[in-house]
Amino acid sequence: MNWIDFSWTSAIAASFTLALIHIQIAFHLFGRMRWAHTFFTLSAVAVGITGMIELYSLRAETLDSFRTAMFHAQISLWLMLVSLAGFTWFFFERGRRWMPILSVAMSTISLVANFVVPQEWQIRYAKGIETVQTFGGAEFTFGHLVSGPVTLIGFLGTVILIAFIVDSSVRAWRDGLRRRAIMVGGGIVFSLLVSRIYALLIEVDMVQTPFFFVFPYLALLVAMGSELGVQIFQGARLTEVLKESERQVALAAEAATLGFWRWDMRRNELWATPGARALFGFSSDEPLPFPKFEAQIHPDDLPAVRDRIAFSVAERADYEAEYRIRSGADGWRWIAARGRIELDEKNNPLLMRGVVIDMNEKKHAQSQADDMRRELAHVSRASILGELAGSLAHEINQPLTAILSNAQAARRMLAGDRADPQEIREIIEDIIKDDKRAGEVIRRLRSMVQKKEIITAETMDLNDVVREVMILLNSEMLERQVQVAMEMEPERLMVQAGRVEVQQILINLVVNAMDAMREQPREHRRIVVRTGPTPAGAAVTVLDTGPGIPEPIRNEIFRPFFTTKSNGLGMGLAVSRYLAEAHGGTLSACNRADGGASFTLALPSDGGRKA
Amino acid sequence: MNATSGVVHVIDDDASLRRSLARLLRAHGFVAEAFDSAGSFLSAGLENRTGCIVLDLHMPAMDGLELQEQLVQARCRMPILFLTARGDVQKCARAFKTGAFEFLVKPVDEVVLLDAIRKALEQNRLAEESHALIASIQVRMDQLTDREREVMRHLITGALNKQIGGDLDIAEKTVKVHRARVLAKMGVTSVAELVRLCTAAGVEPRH
Repeated sequence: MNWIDFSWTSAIAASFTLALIHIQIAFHLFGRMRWAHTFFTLSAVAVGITGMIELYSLRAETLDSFRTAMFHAQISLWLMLVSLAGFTWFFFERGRRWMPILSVAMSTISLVANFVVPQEWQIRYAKGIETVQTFGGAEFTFGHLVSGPVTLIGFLGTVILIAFIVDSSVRAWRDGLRRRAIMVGGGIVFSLLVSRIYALLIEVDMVQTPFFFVFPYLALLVAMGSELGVQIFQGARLTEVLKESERQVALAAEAATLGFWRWDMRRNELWATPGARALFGFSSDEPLPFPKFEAQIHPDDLPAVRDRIAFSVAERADYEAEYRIRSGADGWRWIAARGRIELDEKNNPLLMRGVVIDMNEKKHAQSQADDMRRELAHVSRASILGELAGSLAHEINQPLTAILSNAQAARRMLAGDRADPQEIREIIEDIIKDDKRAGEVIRRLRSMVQKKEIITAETMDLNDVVREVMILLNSEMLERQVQVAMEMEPERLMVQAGRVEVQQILINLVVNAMDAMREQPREHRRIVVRTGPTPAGAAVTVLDTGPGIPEPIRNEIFRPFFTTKSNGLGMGLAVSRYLAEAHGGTLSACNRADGGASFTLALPSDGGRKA
Repeated sequence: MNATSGVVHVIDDDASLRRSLARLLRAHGFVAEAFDSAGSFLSAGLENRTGCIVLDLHMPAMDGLELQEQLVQARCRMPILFLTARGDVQKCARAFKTGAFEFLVKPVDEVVLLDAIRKALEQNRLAEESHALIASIQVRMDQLTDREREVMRHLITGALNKQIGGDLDIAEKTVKVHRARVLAKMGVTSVAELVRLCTAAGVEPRH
């Protein structure tokens, strides 16, 4: 065994070792880097085989066996070229696609041609061999070669490959990947040039040394491998960073009582993080079929949740829901869930992925705030009714007086023996009518003063509500000597809102209008109540002939505790606007061009539900 | 049934109330007429009728107090009874200052209402009588000549013919003639009767 045997076998072993290492790495990677490693493995295999064929040729004892070696070397060289083209393509992700394809195509043509053409046309066809001695007394077989025309095709393929690598490297360099461009791009080009030129020298008998493609290629493998190693190392660091950030997300999720879930629609099963499982009261390892999840939802909320999910699946829309789930033995807990549909290749919903968050405390605070607002609305309603007490008493006293007079008249008639049955009947009819009238006023007042747990929306004609309120305020307007003009839309104006709340807002607006006109001479106290349709529903506008809203306080009037009245609480408009907005409506104010203020309450026909 | 005569005018914008009050009054033998507003009462031109007015305080356009003021200006002698659903002290005070007869709060019981109306009608009757008396005295006084009126004003001071003649610088005999004519024209037989008439008519004695 001389140094030639030793060097070549070492190089071959090194190549196959690299191939083994990188094929394993390739298995653990995905995407582009898997391909880069796969092509690197192929390169390493190609270098190993090249080394073996070279060693075989150096040891050849007959011309035929030398020719066989030269002939088969083309296969490994072809594999080398193809794998370099592939590696460069996936490693740099840059360059013109046609170049590697053309290069591989030409190499393939030359390989195929080599098998079919006459021997004289083949690549590196040996005319004869001789045994040559080199330093260290080592002997090897040297062949005298002729290069057939097929060589030219393979040569062109190599040139195009070099051009492609140069092009890709330059692009990578420009994009700031300088180290990668020098080490890999430069390395490959250098190795290819060296091996090519040296091969040329041998082919034309300029030098009498063994072929040693294996060495520059091995060097090339080392350069490529080290770069891949850097990337692997960076990948490992990234994995570490990723793990760290996952830990942080988990921490944050835990702090926010946030849980992640995924719903596999085909298997109808849920996957959930420990946080989400804890929220729902599931143990950390039990399987979660969908019905098990539904069983935890409050029966009152379940239909809505199902609706939302069905809508989301049908429309591929984001899912959003707030609902109560079982918590502890007999308690309920508010949670909010958000999710997004993921589709398969055929655009069919595959799974839904999302988060779930504990809303209990927020909901609790919200419901307390709602309670307080309701309380405030009630107090404000009661307070304005208190202000109107005198005229409201009038509304009840009027029919009561008529009833009393009618009843006493009838008693007198019956006692006096001059009872006309027809007249008595008329009196009784009148009494019934007036009793109903008083009852109606009382019923309306009761509903206004009553405390309500929730605001219930109903569909109603805004015109009706306006008329009811104007009847209720009739005496007050008489008392204050205010004239009213009703400009009502003849068509029905259907809106969805709480009747009592709309009445409260209107009473506030009309009473404010009357207050605003207190200083006006009597003939200038005019209120216009106008109703009409809006794009989203209907609106009622209350116009007065007072001094209007002074510009500096225009934006202040809806603020709580803001008042211009000496005895006002300053809650009327604030509460009114809150009530309007609670129904998805608006309450706005402006000044009229000809003096006086204008307040408009707009209500949606759908109660402010979002489409 | 009811000795008191005169029409009870019910003015209220509330139709039901108006009808029931009129019904009650008629059941008690009153003559009642109903009006739906201050304006419709005024345009009927009934200011000089005998009777009384039951007036609602709160009405659109012209309210009760304004109608009261207009009627006072028109020298309407019918007493006004206000009806109101709310006890408003200021308006009540204003109504009485302008001469309201009564101020009643709804709902009003028939005993209270009818009693007040009877009193109002009685007052109106007396007022009408004194008004009629003064009117007849006035008619008689209008027949007197200036000199006779002069003599009458001296007569009612209780002065003697001689004193009157001295004051007016005329003969005692002439005073006698004037005196006889005054008594005849005024339809009385004694100076004492003449004094009563002049007091009722508000004729000032001349000293």
